[in-house]
Amino acid sequence: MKALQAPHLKLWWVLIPLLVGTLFLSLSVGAYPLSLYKVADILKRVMFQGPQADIDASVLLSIRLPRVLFGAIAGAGLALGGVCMQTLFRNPLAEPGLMGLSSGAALAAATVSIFASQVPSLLANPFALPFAAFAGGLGITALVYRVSNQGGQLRVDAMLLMGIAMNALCGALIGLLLVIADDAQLRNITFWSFGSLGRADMKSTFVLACIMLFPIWGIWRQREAMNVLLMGEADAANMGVRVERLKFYLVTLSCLMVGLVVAMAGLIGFVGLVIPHIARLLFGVSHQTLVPASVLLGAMFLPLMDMLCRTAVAPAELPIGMMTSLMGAPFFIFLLLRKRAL
Amino acid sequence: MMQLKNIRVEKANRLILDAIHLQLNPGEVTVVIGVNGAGKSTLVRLLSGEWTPDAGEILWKGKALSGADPLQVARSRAVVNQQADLRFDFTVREVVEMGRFPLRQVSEKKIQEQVDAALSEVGLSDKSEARVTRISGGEQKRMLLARAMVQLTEARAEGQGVLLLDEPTAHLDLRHQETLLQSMRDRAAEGLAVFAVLHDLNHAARVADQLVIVHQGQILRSGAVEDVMCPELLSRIYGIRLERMAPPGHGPHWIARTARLQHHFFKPQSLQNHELIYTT
Repeated sequence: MKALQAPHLKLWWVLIPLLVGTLFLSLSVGAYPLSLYKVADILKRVMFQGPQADIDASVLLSIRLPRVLFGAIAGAGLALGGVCMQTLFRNPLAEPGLMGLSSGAALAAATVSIFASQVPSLLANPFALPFAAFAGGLGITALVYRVSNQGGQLRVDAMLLMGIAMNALCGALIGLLLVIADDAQLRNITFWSFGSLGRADMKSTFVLACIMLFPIWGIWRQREAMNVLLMGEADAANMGVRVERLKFYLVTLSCLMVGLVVAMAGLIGFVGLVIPHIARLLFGVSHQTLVPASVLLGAMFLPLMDMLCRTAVAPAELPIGMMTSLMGAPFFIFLLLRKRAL
Repeated sequence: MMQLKNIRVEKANRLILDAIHLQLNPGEVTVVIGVNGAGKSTLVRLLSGEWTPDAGEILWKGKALSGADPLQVARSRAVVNQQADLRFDFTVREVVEMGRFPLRQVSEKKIQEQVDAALSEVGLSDKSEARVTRISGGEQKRMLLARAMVQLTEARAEGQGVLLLDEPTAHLDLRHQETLLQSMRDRAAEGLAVFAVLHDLNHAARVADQLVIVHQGQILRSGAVEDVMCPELLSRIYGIRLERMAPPGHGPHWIARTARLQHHFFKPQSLQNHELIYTT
């Protein structure tokens, strides 16, 4: 336990206060500024006195709180999706997009955006695009999984190649759709592909939180098996891990988490790659620490990026997908250089 | 404990193993020798369940290995492969602790005691917090042996289990080769069936209760060391002249001589005594 206790203590004592601080800061900063004291006061009043009618409370509770909470949950899901893929591929450079999830979702979203005008019921339905994106992402991933599964055995190398092929194919088809899209559709697709937390409300946040609990708990339960899998599939099987079952589990759970976020918030890249990496550099490679560290760091990272998106060019907003890459990449390079891992 | 019955393995239309019958007995060290490509490592892959045979049966405690619960098998059977595939920077201790995975009934305190004892036995106590990608090949091998010993915690206590070792002395220095050979004998004394692929005939002769010569995918001869180790047969298999020497005060050991090259083999005076005194 000696070896496990030290990083655990460090993890909880450092990351949880940091997460709480980040969330409060995100609630406070924005085009309509609210002081940290004000945020705490409104939250306290809501808890002890019921709903509040003033404008500060409305901004906080109706706009900012769902958005910040949605960002935290989405960030945790994206980061943990990255952990799953990196464990599955036994490669720290893997991310959920490798399996064609993002490109499948983007293709379905582009298709709905362009053809919805011809189906009035689709155009009127706010769930059409998220549902299509979720189904598209999962559909392409299922196809990649099915083709890579030979004789009941998932060939991870074949899955990687198949994912690359499907990404290229989906990219080409999206390009084709963009050619026939009008200006409004083009703008719609472009904004969706950069991602945004602006559509988040309390209902969607609650749904995302409830669903996300299952994969997070499921992955936490598999932490020891995931550690053993990193030593190689043959080695893991020798240690009693049901390797094929675990691989299916990792693909399914990561697709569920990332698919949901992509469907509800659009494409937000880089989180699944950079957060597990940072977690590994700070707390070690064992899933005992990697899983909670990635969840907490992801939950911190996305609201922080969203805060920058909301404030950098206020009252306008920058796309969060662009910001995650813009801020995440240099920080990632800095960490790698600092640890002399390059 | 484990049994191979009339095994045949083919890969890409090439016969790798044929008509293999082999039994691993509790408390015995079974050593397989043979030239490169003879099919020795395939035997390990079969016994570990990594490969399934094209014909024949692999029995685990009298029943088909393929039908056994993997977790239950892993509690009683550990494998140390030729090389570790280490891509992630675990600490040595974290890897050794992975041996707990199949163990469900063993307390955390007992596991940590086993981890400490295993690290101490393989001489890695002082490197327990070292990163696995920064230790030598020999240290990686010893670390995997320590993990196997933790994995077999319950089996060792019950005195029944299987330890499979594929070229365990490769990458090890002389002292750690000796420690490993002693460890093999110790595990057998605990009641485990130890199976090892070895290249060094002197090592094989010293530790084996059952010696198996594999040649061109078949078991050429198996049995007690004295019955199997025939100089003419070994010279023919290895394509090199081999002689059995018996210096005064020592057991027999093997010296290889060719017209071009002379290999000097060294023999430690005592397997039990860790103080290393070598004679030529």
